[in-house]
Amino acid sequence: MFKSTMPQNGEIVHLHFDGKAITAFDGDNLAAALLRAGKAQFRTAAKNDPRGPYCMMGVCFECLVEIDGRPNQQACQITVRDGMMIQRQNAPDNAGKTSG
Amino acid sequence: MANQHFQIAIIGAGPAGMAAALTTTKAGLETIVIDDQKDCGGQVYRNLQANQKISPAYLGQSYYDGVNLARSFAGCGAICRPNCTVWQITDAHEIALVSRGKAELITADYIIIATGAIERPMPVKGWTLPGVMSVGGAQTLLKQAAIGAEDAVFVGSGPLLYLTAWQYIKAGLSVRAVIDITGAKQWRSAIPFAPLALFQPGMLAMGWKWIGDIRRNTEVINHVSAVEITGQSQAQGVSCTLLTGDKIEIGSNHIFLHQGVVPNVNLTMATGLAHQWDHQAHCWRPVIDVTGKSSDEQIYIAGDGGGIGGAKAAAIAGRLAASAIVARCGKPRFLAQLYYKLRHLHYLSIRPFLDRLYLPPAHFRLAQADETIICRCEAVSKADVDAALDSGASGPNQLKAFCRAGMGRCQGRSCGLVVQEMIASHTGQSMTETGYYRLRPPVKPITLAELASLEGPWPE
Ligand SMILES: Cc1cc2nc3c(=O)[nH]c(=O)nc-3n(C[C@H](O)[C@@H](O)[C@H](O)COP(=O)(O)OP(=O)(O)OC[C@H]3O[C@@H](n4cnc5c(N)ncnc54)[C@H](O)[C@@H]3O)c2cc1C
Ligand code: FES
Repeated sequence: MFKSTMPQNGEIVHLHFDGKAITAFDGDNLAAALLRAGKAQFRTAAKNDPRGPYCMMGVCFECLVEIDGRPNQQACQITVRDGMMIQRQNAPDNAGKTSG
Repeated sequence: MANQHFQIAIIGAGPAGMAAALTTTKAGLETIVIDDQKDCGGQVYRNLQANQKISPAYLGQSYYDGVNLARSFAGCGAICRPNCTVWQITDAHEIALVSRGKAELITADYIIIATGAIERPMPVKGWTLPGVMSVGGAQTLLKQAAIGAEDAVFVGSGPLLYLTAWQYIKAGLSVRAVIDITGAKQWRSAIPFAPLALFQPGMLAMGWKWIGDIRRNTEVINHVSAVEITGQSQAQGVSCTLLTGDKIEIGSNHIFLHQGVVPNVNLTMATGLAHQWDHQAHCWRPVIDVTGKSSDEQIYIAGDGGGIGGAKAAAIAGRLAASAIVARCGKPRFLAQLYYKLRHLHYLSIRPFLDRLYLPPAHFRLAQADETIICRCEAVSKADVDAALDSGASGPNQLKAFCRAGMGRCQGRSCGLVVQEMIASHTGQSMTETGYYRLRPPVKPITLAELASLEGPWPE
């Protein structure tokens, strides 16, 4: 689990991840805030593959989540906002897809 | 409404872009600097402004080396556009931007692309599991959010891996192990270039110190032939096979992978600029002259996006490109240019050594196990790619149609080099003959709503 390497101060903001309340600091990067809260899986890719942030620089698209109803948001490129509702995102093709 | 016009547009505010802006603004040229992050600094100096206030010592001196550059940049008078992504550059040198859901076009007489590097993919079995990150990702978390993981395992090779493991140790985090994939073959090919690297004694000494501190504080495993990450829905550990055939299993929920950085060519390729295969660094790079001028007379490429040289070389490359442009605007700077050229060569003197030493062995560039995911976006495995090759796919673009590798949102950034090398080793063709995915704009996904927000005509 990720932990702070410096004393963290700043105003607390409240988020929801899959319905569960999470706190973060004002100005936090969303992916970092979720990792600090112990959330490692952010989405599933095709074939129900569990995924979480990989590059933290906007390259890999593994950190995609749904924010306030909008899908495909790169959590590693987003700053938290108080009251953000975040959902894990499932690949739309998981239902029908078998292989290849 | 007419597009906003600038004399100089710089894309990327890392050391290359910031340094370029210092030169163009000093010459009185109207300059805009666009970057998709919220602060300047690029990958190396990420979040420098905020960190300066609390100055965590564990980030090391090489990080705070950026302070002066960032400070001068803040006062240089360039127009800064943070949180703003460039998704296309047209033949008419229109630059298409998107920022906070709104798209716009600007134009410029000269464009400096300073978009930096990305990490080379490291496709080992299990590398898609939550808990596995790139070393660059782990370092970014440390710089940007001051968080780190206890008991992590670092796997791979290259300066960024040693630096980050060192920063972890200095931050008081316990590192379970460092699995170093550098082989004897890499040492043999690098050693003849060691004398040249002695022109950069400071960098060599710094690397030596990182590696020494790492060895004193954690277990370093060498002579590795294969690595797999274990776990079902989350990383549980690493299984590592030694050259002797022995296996080592290490439990950890945090595995960080890295095997070097390569130029981020998505924008330069999608812009239609000429590229070449770099045999020494084993990656694609744009074709540029010594000042950074690309195959398009109005477009320059500076920094690691033009070929990996590191942060200091990137800043000098930014100066060099900018002073060449300033000269073309009628203000020749012969002495300055000569000085920057020599400094640049000086910084690059360590590259022949580093490129050879940290070129990952072929069995780490290519996946080993059939189940290994190659294309992360579409969850295409090595077996899927092999099947496509067996059924006749003969190039990267054709392979997309056969198995969807490279069709996802990342536009091949995580699989392109791996797929290309798999094809080359299957067909026996060179990397140049095999070629890369055909990249087209937009280089980052853009929504219809964002497109619709464009005022005036769409880019061609
Ligand atoms: C994750 C990572 C961490 C690194 N850490 C270090 C380190 O600690 N020390 C070190 O010596 N080297 C490090 N490097 C190597 C790095 O390449 C440096 O040498 C240096 O940052 C290169 O400077 P640059 O100006 O060329 O590019 P960068 O510093 O990478 O700056 C490029 C900037 O352009 C932005 N950008 C890219 N594409 C677009 C676009 N389409 N639109 C708008 N903006 C865009 C990026 O967000 C970035 O801010 C790291 C590399 C990576 C990938
Ligand atoms: S973690 Fe790679 S894009 Fe966000």
